[in-house]
Amino acid sequence: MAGHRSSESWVQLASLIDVLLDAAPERRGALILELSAGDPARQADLERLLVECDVEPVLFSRSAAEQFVGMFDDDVARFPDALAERYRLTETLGRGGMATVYLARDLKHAREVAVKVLHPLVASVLGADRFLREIGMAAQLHHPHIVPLFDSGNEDGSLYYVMPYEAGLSLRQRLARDGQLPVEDVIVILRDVCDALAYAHERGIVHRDVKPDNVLLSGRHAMLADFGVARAATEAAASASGTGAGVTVGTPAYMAPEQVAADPHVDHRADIYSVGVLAYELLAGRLPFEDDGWRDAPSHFVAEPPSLTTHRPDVPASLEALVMKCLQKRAVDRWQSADEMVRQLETLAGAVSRSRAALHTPTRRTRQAAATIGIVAAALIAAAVVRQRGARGDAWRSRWANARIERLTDFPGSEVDAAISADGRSVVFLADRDSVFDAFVTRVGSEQFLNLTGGRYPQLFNEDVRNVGFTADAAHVWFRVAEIAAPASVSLVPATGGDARPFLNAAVMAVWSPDGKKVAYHETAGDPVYVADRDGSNARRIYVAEPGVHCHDLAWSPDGRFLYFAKGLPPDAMDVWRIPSNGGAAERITRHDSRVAYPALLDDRTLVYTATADDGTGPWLYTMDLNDRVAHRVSTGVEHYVSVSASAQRAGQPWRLVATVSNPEVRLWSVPIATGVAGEAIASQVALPTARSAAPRFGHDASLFYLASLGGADGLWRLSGGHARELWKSSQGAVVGAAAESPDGRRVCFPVRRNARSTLYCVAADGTGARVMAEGLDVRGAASWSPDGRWLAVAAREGPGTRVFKVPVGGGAPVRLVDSVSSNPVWSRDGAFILYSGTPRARSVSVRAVTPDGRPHPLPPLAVDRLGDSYRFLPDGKSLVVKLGGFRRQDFWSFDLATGRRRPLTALKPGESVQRFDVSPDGKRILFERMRENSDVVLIELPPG
Amino acid sequence: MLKHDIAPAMAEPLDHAVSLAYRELRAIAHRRLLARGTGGTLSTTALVHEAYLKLADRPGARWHDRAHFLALASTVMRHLLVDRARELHALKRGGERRRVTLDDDVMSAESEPGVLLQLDEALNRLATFEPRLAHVVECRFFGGLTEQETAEALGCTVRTVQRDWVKARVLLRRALES
Repeated sequence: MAGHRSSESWVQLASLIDVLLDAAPERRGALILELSAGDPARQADLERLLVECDVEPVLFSRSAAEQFVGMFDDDVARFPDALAERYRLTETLGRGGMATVYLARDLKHAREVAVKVLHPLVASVLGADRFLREIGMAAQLHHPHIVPLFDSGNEDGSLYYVMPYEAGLSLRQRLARDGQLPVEDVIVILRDVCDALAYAHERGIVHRDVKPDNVLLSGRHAMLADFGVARAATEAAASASGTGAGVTVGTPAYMAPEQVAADPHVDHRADIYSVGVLAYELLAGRLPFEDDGWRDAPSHFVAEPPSLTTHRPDVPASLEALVMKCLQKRAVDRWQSADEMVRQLETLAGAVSRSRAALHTPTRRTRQAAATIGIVAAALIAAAVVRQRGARGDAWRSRWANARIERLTDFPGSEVDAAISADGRSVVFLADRDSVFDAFVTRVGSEQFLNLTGGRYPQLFNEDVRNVGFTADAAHVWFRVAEIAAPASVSLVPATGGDARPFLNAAVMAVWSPDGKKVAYHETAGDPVYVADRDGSNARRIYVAEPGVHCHDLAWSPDGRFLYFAKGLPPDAMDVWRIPSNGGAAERITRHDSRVAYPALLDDRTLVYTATADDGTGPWLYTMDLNDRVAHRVSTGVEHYVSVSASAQRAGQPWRLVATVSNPEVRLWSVPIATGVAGEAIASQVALPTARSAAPRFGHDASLFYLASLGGADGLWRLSGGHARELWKSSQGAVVGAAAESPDGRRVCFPVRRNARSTLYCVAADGTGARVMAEGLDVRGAASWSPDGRWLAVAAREGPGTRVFKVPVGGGAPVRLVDSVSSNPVWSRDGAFILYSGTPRARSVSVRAVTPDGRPHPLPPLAVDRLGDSYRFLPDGKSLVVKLGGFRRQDFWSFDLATGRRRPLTALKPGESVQRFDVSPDGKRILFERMRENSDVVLIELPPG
Repeated sequence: MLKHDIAPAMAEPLDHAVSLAYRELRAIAHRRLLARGTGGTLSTTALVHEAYLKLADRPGARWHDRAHFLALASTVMRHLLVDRARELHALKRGGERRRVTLDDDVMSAESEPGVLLQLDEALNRLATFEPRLAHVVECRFFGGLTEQETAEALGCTVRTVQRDWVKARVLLRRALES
């Protein structure tokens, strides 16, 4: 079938394919035999043809535009030779869609300049005359917030213009670095941009391409660049279309509806719309309309942008109103002039800075990572106009708006689980400053810390529960004692130091009622809740949850009528519930189903607690008015709120709360698998371009999948050939589990959390074609492929717990493999069984196995650390790398599945938490996710009711 | 400006409305390319969205038919990409031809616009004998349309599109390998 194909043979070939494919698949073999009539060469040809019908050519795996759009980027915008007399080229600063920007030395004026040279394609479309005319008009603009034009011209057919070089970032770069910007900064930037626009509009010049890329930052101030270019391009495109109709050029995501529709009467109000989009993005960290390039431009016509406060609760109402008015569909409904906006913004800036000044508290923190504390941003709400929803629903805003925050500790390592005494004067917390976790007590304002436990108790900290607190009179500190092979117990130690004595011999925590007459506590197994007299006598069990469900972090309501607690599956399927303190039914209060912990009551209707957000970020600090049951996030910024505790209400005095805040560092590390034990010294951090990196999985072609984010929720990244790129990101949710690559490397599946539910997504190897697998399953953790690529094993919520399912890849209903609580399935290399984790016991869990048809598969006994990944196969398929240990002290071991023999592989530095990991395909190294907490204790004062 | 303007590959006369739409789509595509700096992609459905918005209520135009638009936009995409590939090819290699196949890996295809030129030629030849197959390739590959959209655009069933796609792939693969 070689040679130049004639028309005849093409037609023949096409009909032959029809004949083959028209036959039922099972008939095709016989048909080929029939057609080849005993000629083996012919038979082979036909068989090959049939195979070919099934194979999609690589070229056709994606659309031509997707694959070849890069052709239009061709870097031929050279620095024109003729310019060399005036400008000495220093370096290339960057390349955009329209131009390449060079840094050069202006020899005549001895200054640094940025020279923008248009790409030849762009230049030819624009035309030199039109470009020079428009740029000439822009050159007439002289304003402190407009980047001036030094020079422009046409050399050797290259169109260029010259601007001062600003060493600062563009707003685009700042956004990429910081995500959401502080409210104050946004106000200043918007004011400057509007000031520049007001000036230009007055002179009849519309910018038409206002976007973060065109705003340069100089100190705190902003300057608008590239006047005239968009307009020249607009005209060029109009004449290219030849229809005489108005056409416009711009960046679709920032364009007003009338600009998208190419209304010939587009005026300055299109710029005002763009300012609105820009403002929205600066505050929310995302565009008002999720926009994949041009595809969704029509959403500007019909869709209403979601309220800014859904992304950013601390945006003052008046600022939100200002932004939303810019985003009106009809130009007549927007602000009618940029000048008007400048006045509004100046008023707003004054209000915000006054409130800010009132809030500046000295912090003791001197460390480099001295991030702004989130609540301070919330305080900006104070001066802003109260939202229209009515004072009642918004009482929390003004209360938090006037919060005062002070950092109490600055220990190296972690400070966790801080509790404040009812009188608000003493604080106790756990810290690993002196190697192991100890309980430290301090009087507020004293800056003196007393170590109460002196390294005498192992494992004082269990991260799922509250471990330390005060008695009602604050004379004693209680703490949880964990003995090997005994249930947890609670001991008391004088708050001034001294010997500890046992208090409750089977309890995890204790909390005294506000009147000091009762104590509530819970035990370990099943977490039954008891209320007893203050000394622990006359205990009465008032509540026990259904089997497998945990109840932690008890807190009394100030009137003593209710006990609040975190209930669910620790760590990350919890909510706040309450029961009457004399017994009764439990009532669910919050609806996060996430990492909810540390409920505390300010008064009988005001709850505070920590929780991770729907997209998996956080934990953050939340508050809820129990009358309306609406949860409000009060912390903003990047610091996580790991715990919170509140004092009692004190007449005429502010409430005091203590919280532990952290700036966790999550990174990937690598350690070799060798014959000996690998110590910390030979573990190394993996260099990746993202600050956060987690959940590693090795893929085909020496690539690596991992989760990371440049700000906001995690997406799926792939490192391949030394180049990392984001493969997939959810517009509203987060990728929350490790990737599972199909055995043929063509698909990748991962869990995505959104609206308090996780769903399994699969995409092609290039990140396209996302689809949901087994939509009905609320999945937990990573999935695992069967070696034949036909099934995915995954754990999913079912009742109070998770079960392991297998999902047919080709469609069809999921099949439950294990009837009891089970999670973390990993398919064996030969496909014969699936490893899974059984019912957890504290930090550890036993490993079991099941065959693909649901029968138990024998396994030597093995218990592993349950958080993150617990086991991964070594390449031989006969042994595992398992993670053993517990809280902040974990190591990898090898485990032989036939004999149960184990051997330590690593001796890592304790104090950091090792979560997800993978073994390289050659079995020579382990890549693991390691978290360093970097936490501190802060004191928060809230004004009285 | 791209050198090759309207050069219909399909041997059918463009009536006035079609040529109007064709020019419109082309202009939009150009603008898209100008605005690509922010990571915008070139997509047929986006072209159609925008062109349709503009032409739908223009007097005299008979645009009740999004499907027709899709087919036309796919042709525009093909010309746009092939023209650009031709320019680059002339620029970079002085016209020298390197053998390519449909199964070259994507990275090398990307740096090798020649594959588009050879595919374009093969498609022209295919169009003379099996015009519908060529249309399917234009819609599916150049236009990036789904099977459903292609079926609508060409006025046939999804099943036909699937079968034609299989046949066209086999024929083109062999044409390029020969």
